[in-house]
Amino acid sequence: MEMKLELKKWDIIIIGLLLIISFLPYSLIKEFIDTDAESIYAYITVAGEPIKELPLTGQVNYKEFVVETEYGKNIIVIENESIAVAEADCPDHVCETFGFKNTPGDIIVCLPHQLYIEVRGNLADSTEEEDARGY
Amino acid sequence: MKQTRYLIYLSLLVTMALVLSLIERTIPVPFMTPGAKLGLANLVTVLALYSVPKKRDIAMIIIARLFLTSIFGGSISGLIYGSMGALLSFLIMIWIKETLKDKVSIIGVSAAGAVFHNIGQVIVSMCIVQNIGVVLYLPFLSIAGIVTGVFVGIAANYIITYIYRLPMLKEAIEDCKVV
Repeated sequence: MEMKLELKKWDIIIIGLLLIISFLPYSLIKEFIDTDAESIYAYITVAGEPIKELPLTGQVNYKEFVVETEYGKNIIVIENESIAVAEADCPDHVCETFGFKNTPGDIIVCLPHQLYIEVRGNLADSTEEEDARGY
Repeated sequence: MKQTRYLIYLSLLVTMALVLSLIERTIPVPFMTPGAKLGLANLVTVLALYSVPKKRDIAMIIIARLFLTSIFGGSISGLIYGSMGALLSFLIMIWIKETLKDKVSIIGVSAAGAVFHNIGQVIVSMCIVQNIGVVLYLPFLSIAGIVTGVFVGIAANYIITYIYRLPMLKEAIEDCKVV
């Protein structure tokens, strides 16, 4: 029973379907994300509880925040209107590898500490802007 | 005798999976999406799917691999994320292989397994951080998953040719199919 290396038609279909499946929830949520918001902020939750909302727009200088909970400690850094996790005392250090994020919809996750950071557009500002455009 | 050979083949698969998942942790992959893995252990699952006749035995290989990896250098939390992904990818790979049979090659099966591993990972992450927004990260993971899945499929394709050529193993596997 010899197996030849060939990509069959259904392989392509499956890969296409996989792409659709993985982009579907993204595109549904993306509708609600304001990608060209005037100002952005970082929304931080630990175990689903909102902890902090840090404004990113205008924050050019280096700033450090410490999020310390019962699960562990993460040092969050804001520089050049971007946010990153600089240091964490978790075992896997995955959150440090995300790097700096600055587009609404970008996320940083630290699973061991149940930490979730999302960059969000300031909705209040953008609706005002849209109103202004309307007139 | 043939039973013993079959058992040894299964244990070899578990060993390969364990070694591969330990090695892949030590390989630094530049430009890799955070949280994504090469998924080399999926190679063994795919090989098992195409050579081990009993599904129960394939499931045993996966369970043994998950436990051994977390003992040898993982954590309990790693085991939880890993098992959800492994379960989903195992189910989808069996389903695709059974429904499409010859219409699909190892490459498609392995790519589907990789992406559903990511989906499982994202579902577990959503439960842990209790935030649905983690779904935004799925496309990044699954693009990495499709690429590594296709490569794992190509590798499995080459290896399976040689596995089928082993006469002793063929006998043992054929024998177990009857029993």
